[in-house]
Amino acid sequence: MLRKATSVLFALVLAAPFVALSQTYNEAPMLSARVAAGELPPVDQRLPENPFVVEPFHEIGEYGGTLRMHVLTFDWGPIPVGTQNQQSSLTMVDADGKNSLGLRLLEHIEFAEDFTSVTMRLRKGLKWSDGEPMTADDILFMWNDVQQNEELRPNPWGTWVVDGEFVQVEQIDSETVRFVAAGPIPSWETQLKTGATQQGAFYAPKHYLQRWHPDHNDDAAAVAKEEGFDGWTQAFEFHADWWTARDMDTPRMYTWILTDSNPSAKLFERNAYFWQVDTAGNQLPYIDHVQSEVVSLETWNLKILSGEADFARHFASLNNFPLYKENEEAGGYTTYLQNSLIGNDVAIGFNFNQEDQVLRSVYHDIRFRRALSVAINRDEINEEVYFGQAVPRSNVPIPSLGYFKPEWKTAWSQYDPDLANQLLDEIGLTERDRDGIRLRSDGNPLQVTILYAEYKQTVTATLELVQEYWEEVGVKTVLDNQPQGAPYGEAIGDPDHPMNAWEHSRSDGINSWLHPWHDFLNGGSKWVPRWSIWSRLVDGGEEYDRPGDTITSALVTERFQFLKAWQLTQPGSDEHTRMGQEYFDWWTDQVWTIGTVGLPPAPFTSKNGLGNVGLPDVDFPRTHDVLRPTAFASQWYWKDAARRNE
Amino acid sequence: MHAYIVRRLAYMIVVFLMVAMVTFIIIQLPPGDYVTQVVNDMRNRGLAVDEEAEIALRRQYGLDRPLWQQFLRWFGNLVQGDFGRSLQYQQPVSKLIGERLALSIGISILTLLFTYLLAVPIGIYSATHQYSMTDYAFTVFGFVGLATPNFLLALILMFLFLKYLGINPGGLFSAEYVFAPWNLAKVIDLIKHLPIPLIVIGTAGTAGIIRVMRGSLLDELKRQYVITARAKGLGENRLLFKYPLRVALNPIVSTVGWLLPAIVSGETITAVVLTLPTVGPLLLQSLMAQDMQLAASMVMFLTLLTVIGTFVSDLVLVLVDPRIRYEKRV
Repeated sequence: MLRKATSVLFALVLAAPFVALSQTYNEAPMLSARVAAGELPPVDQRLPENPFVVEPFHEIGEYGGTLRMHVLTFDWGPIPVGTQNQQSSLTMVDADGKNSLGLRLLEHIEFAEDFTSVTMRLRKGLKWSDGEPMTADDILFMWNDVQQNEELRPNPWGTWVVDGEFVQVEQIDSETVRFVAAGPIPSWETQLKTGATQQGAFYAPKHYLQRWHPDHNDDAAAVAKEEGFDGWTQAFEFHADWWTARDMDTPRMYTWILTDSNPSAKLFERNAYFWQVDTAGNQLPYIDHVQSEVVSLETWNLKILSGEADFARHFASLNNFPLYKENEEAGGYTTYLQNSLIGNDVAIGFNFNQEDQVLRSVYHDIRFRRALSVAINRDEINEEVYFGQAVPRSNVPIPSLGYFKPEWKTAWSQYDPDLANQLLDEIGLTERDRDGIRLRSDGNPLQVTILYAEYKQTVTATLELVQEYWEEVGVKTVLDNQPQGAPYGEAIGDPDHPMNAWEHSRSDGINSWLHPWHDFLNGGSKWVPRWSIWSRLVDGGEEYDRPGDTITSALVTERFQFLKAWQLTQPGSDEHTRMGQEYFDWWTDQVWTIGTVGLPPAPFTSKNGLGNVGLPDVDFPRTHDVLRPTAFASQWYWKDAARRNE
Repeated sequence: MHAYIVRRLAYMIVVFLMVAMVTFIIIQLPPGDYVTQVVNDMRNRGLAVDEEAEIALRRQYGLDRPLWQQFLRWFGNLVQGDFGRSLQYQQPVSKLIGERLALSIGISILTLLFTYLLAVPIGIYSATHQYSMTDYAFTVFGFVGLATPNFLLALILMFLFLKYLGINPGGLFSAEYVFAPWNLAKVIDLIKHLPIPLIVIGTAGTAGIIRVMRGSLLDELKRQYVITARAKGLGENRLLFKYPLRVALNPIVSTVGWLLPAIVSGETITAVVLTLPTVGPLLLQSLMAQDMQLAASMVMFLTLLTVIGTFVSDLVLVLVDPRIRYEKRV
């Protein structure tokens, strides 16, 4: 099955340039009507000369209908729309099982042998959603006038700084550009697979946005003022915003474009200029509209059960899986499980430079971290919270990465409360109060607090078990559940915040999401705020060190440099594997963070009659985080004429 | 009398100004601001946001200015009738509130009607059939209702309605009418969605009113005039509705006024659970997101309603109670 899907996809990629050339294209009836009314140019003129060809998973679809989805906050787009900014990238990972680099808006890409430059050619005749041509100018505008504008981006995008110099771009012709770096970037190809080359990062609609940019319009400040903004950057960011799409007039390259919105719902309509066709020459997407309603989590789940949600994934929780399954027939939907690439669903970290000196010295003691880790009964968490579907493991990278070593998974993740007690006794935490809680060196009970936000419905259940295990070995544990958003953001930003919990090591192959280190690479860590402050300074980190620290600013700097060097090796090479293993051998042994369980499968539901919904590892190999069912939403369609004609 | 009205109006303006300042300060009090949330959201999506980007965002939203400048700007616009622009939705606050206000008031009034139509007859029945089985049953029902948190009732009812009646839970409109212009079909759709909110929000108030109604009517039923009327051979029903009931309704009627603020933003938590597009959840969300303009303007709007309501009740009191008219002349 896997092989079949792989070969189909591979054929899709190979066939792309050839199939489409001789076609005359078909379009959705709602667009034909507009063409007939003279409101739109014919479909041949709206598509690029060489559109991106999608081979549907199951069959050629039919046009029409609305996709109904639900989200929890206004800021979320419905998920296929939230995914589409990635899918409308220049390049994207391909679902070929080998994580190959796939082309989207690009027709051709070529890396220099020494990885110092990359040449990209756009499909000729691409159009923005307002019908204006999308060309190399739009890439140059984004790269030169936005990414390198000191007012808009005071701190340049770290990934593209080599030897202190930002990658430069030069124009070759109206479709072609070349990015040139001051030194080699071996991870270049890997970076380009993540959807990073999306609108607002690598390209932007120059013809529309230049009105708010002082380099292109002398009156930009006046225009901003007239619109009620304080300055041009504010106005520019508002109109360029790629995530929430609040300016509904901003041209986009997306599958569906926002056309109406209020605090309880958003309505999206098909992009008449969308640059994808199926193998029969039908312009995609098949579905006309996407509507998303903002609902409470309770209503969200009930919308699934009642069959009102056409596709639901993001907030679906594994602990509700039986409930979803039970109501399938009544709701007319089907529930699936998607494999996970999240290394640890709930990992617990320490704030190594907090000012409580007693707590700090225990955090810095390797025996303390190991003791807390082996005090956790991960099998029980897996059974009680995850129905045994997840994997008990330390907070280490996921197994599909080339440099993974199986022994990392089990290192200090066995359940051994006796060892935990022994280690804690060795530290000298032998005195206990009446409740059996160990006493700190200053005579107070040893209490740790875990700060977290309920980012998933399994978090609190998991942490409550952790609390139980830790109190069994005499460490009083308090759970501090802060509301997501500003309250949590502020609490975690406090340099003296206690321990924290979040999901970790979601790995896209480059950035193993292992705090506190991960954010260092991007220049900003919420986990260890004080290190984050000095990590951007040239020196001065020593002021945050204290006597007795085992992890000092010097060590962090050294490790940071090591990771930077590792990033510069080519993924898959022997050097990459060697350095990765060296790093994570150390990481695992030191137990810098405590993992619980990982790789939890995620449920999603899809309405019966929604065609071409690709199932992970059935229709496409899910080898990369961005390869989700929603990544292929442009080929979804309604099998039922009643839904198509709504 | 004129002087009294002028004085009251002057107080009103002072109160309004003070509430404006206090509101603005209190909303700023929790740590962090709207940008904190935006940055946190972006980081949770795996995007890199450094401090400079955060500063740029803050500038973009005008949150880098001193508090008094933000206040003056907001209040200046407010008195000119401009409620400002919501940071979160990037739409005029007046538009956001306007859409929901009518629905809020509509639901609240219907709920009130539902509550009274249910509770008052039950109260009367309980009082006239004191210590009967049905009285005990209603009493138990009333106390259980009083003790159950509304949102829990909402959750249970939503599930039961879905499971056994197949009624789609959540919201006030079916998906196809969310963006539809108002027409008959949309109104019918709205009516179909009303039972759950009415029952959930309505039954909560019922228990209290049943008890008050029962108690006050029992008091009246023991009065001499009731016995006299009965002795004179007046029919039981006619007697009940003509005399003791009218007196017993007094406590109920006099508390109707207390419910006015709740009409606009009451039952927020229940509305959140039920996903009702009313004012309460919008206010809650704006406070959580620290969407200053929206939150502050909404609180001001509610303040304005309250102040005006108090003003009107003051005037009515003056008409009713002559002592107040001359309070300063003594």
